[in-house]
Amino acid sequence: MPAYSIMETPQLKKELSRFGVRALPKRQMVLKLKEIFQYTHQDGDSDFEDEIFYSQPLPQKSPRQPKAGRAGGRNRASAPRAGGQRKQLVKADGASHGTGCAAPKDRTKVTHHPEGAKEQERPSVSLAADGEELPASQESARSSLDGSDISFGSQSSFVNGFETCAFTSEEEEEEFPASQAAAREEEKLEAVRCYIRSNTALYNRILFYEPIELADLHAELKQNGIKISKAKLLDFLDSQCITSTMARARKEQVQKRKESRKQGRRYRVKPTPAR
Amino acid sequence: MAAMRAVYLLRSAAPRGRCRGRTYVGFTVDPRRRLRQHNGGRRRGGARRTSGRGPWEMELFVHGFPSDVAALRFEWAWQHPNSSRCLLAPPTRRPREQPISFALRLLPCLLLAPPWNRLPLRIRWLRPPRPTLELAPPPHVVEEEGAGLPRLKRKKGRSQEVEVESWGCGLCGEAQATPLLRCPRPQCKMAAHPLCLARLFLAPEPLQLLPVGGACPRCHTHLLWGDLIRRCLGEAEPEEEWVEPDDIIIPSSAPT
Repeated sequence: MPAYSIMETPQLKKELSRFGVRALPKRQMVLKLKEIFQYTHQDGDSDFEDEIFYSQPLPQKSPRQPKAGRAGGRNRASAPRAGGQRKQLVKADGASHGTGCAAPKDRTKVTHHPEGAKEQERPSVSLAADGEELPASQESARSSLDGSDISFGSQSSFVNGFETCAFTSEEEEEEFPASQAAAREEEKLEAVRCYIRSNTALYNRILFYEPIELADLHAELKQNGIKISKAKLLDFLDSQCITSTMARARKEQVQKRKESRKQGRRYRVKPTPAR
Repeated sequence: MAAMRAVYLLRSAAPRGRCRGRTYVGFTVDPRRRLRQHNGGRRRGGARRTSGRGPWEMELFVHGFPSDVAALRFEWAWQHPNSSRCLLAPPTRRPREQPISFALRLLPCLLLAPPWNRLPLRIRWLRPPRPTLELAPPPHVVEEEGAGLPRLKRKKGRSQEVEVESWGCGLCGEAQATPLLRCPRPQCKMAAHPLCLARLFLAPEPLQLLPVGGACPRCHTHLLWGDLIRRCLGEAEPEEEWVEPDDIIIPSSAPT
């Protein structure tokens, strides 16, 4: 997780605007960003993490981080459990959540729990949900202005949004409360669609079922002024049954990792013979 | 060019013991050879997970994948239904459910899921009393039945020459560098650019980019996009490429 807690206000605003959330008081922005982070990084697809959500090199972690870390650890620990137990988990969390809200001290601690449970229940919910989550987060941002119970309001609306988008079909036309963010998302996908249709060479390759290298298409779209995250692009291609691959990108990544490991070893080895 | 890409489901026919009722999902370009390898054990190229736990029988295979990537993703999702990003609501295994029936319950969910539900897939059932799927696969998915495994004909060269007559695209009339798609019916002389034909086939569903099929603009037979592409690439229809098996593989027989 990027160190949201020690970020400057303008940077926080920038981060939020990427998700279509307007500027808020600083502390709320931090909370909101952490919440969004929890949602967007649930299916441990580490391929995307570093490229999409971290635009800047991360500064040192702040002392507040362990809280999020604990929530993460919890999720990981209970992830392999069988499906039958998951529901109980949700219930238990719901209960603890109810009591936690009464005591304002516990609020921050409770924040991640129900989300965690939800995450486990459907770990494969795609990142396409982002677009639909936004209205919920905006709403909660508004409601949080009256000061009381920030996390609770936002969570429940979050969870609701989550459920609905998990159960609606993958088709693009969903009757969701028309909000700007969703509409913008829709426009973006439409732009991608138009771009593919207009690029005959690319479209021909798709019609012949050739796998498309995700990074290439992403770069191409960027050049043509269509900004879309790789995860969303992948979801879009999947929904269109266009086979995409990350084979080359992965190969490069592995190579880089190997090289860096070699270098690391070199540095470590040197001092030992000196002793 | 390997025309055959199959994801298969094996079931252990071990009469008793801990291997009874086990299943295995894998990918191959030649199901017949692969089953022989599985039954031959690790030393003959079988997978570690299947070695010594047989004899294995092949229940079915899904083929017609247009690329290795699509097939391998399908295989992975079938093996890991709970971790796949493609299955939004993966069915969970019921208590005491046989692995084989769970695998068969998963199959239609996979076929209906987005990255594959528009691909020209076919299911080939190999064990005659064919079980009915709980959920119907998408309507364009062809279900075939066969008692044994197909023997792949090794082609020495292109046997049938595709006569290249220079008809233009019947839809736009312009000359383009792209190859033309042709109607497989011999008496029909329809030819069209992939782009033009795709536009025509996608008219009812403007949000999609990849057509599943549609009526031939000339003879109005229903055509599948996958068949048109396969024909255009010179890969024959699967039926033409296979010699129907003359013998049924008895799984318990030792591989030679």
